[in-house]
Amino acid sequence: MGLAVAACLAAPLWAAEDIHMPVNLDKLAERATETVDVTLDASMLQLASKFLSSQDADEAKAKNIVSRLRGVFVRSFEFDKDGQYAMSDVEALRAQLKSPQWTRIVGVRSVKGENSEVYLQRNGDQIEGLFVIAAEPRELTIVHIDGSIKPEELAELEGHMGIPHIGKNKTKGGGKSDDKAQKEEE
Amino acid sequence: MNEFQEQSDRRFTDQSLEEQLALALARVEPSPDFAAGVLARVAGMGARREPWWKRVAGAVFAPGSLRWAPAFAAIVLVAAGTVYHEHQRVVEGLRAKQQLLEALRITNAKLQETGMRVAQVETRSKE
Amino acid sequence: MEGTQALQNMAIGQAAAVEEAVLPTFAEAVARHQSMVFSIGWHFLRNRALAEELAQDVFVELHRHWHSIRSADHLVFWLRKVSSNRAIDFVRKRRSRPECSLESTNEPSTLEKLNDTLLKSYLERMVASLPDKQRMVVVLRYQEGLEPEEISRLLDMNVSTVKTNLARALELLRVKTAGKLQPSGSDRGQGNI
Repeated sequence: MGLAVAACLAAPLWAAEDIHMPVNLDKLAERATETVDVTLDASMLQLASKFLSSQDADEAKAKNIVSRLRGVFVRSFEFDKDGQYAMSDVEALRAQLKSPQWTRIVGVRSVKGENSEVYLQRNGDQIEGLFVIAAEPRELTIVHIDGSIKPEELAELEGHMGIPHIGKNKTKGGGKSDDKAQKEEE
Repeated sequence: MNEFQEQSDRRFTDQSLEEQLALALARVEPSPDFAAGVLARVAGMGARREPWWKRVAGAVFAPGSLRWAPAFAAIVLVAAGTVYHEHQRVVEGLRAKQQLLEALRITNAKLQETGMRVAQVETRSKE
Repeated sequence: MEGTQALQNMAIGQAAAVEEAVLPTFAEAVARHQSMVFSIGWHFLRNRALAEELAQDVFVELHRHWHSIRSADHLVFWLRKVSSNRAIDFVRKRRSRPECSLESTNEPSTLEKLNDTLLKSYLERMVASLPDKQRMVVVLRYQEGLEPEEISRLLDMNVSTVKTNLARALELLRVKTAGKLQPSGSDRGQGNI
């Protein structure tokens, strides 16, 4: 009982919508060669925003994006060999995204074991959240952005502030969705 | 290649060069403890140049001003706490900013990769 | 009580002459503009340690002159001016040159397609190899996005001199990058120009 309570307490609350990060995923950092762990709630976002300069065009854009967010949460793990995490742990996360508020707009699986999913949380016509699960044999990345976010605004930051261009190919949105999950690159 | 084409290509190349220069010369961050180092250096210089305690002591021990000593002491304590708090806030804010930019970068990268995979799937299905 | 007021001002980093509603505190100014100041030094000197030393010197001088800063815009102008001029003086006093000269920069084979990372690094090195004034003009133009008129005020140069320096620098860089800059998604050009 004590262990169960401890496990519940250990699972961090990511957002008001109660998406819990499975405890096993947090332990992956011990096996990962590289870990990115970002948890910025509303107050930390506000603080970070104060250090984004309004006089710099790119930082001003980032500031505009952040002004509509309630939280930014990223966990990214890189491993030096396959099989360092269990898909059942990712499934535990997916199960939470089956609630009516979340819509999966993109799901891509490849034979190489590279799986990507993008979920949007809607409130009527408004986008209230973005969730990305990118699972590869040696890399697992989970992103949750809580708040009103437009993916095309993220793409506008590409190439600035040390955010490198990812590629120059044009991309199109997911075929079955009426929402864009990615922006066409110029 | 005719002259018009040459000029057109040159304008295009210049535009590409300027775009690449803007990317190559994008701002970069100094080391994470840079701001703390500046504040520490400035604080050290301030003490050497204008010893605040001398001014406080001069005011406290000036004839007839001893009754202000507790007030001065309180102000010094509050001032020191304010400076320290400000410093901590700056350090925390910079860290949050770096984390935010990293998070935005990763998010965009994953969205772009997903988009490219979708495009590849669509291309293959059309073939 | 003059002593008390001065003590309070020092504690919160604001001088009496500063417009409180517009200017940040000194500590906020450092945090907000450290990237700009450091980057001017870095792209000019191509040495991280020297760039940090230069940037620290600039902010220490800012602290000395904090009472004369009138507004947030003035602050940015002051920082750019002092950073760029100090960087040029820095190089001249130490007779230090960036790590490679334009001539000795290894050009990738004309048969190779450079990816973004390599080209970025190549361009950075080439910019660092330009003559002092041309280099700073390029840095201010493309890092800070400044127009020639603004650059002329920062470097105490005639506008025409700024434009000439910029044109010469671009011509040098254009020759060196000929054939490396390919249009994306387009068939224009036949490879090397």
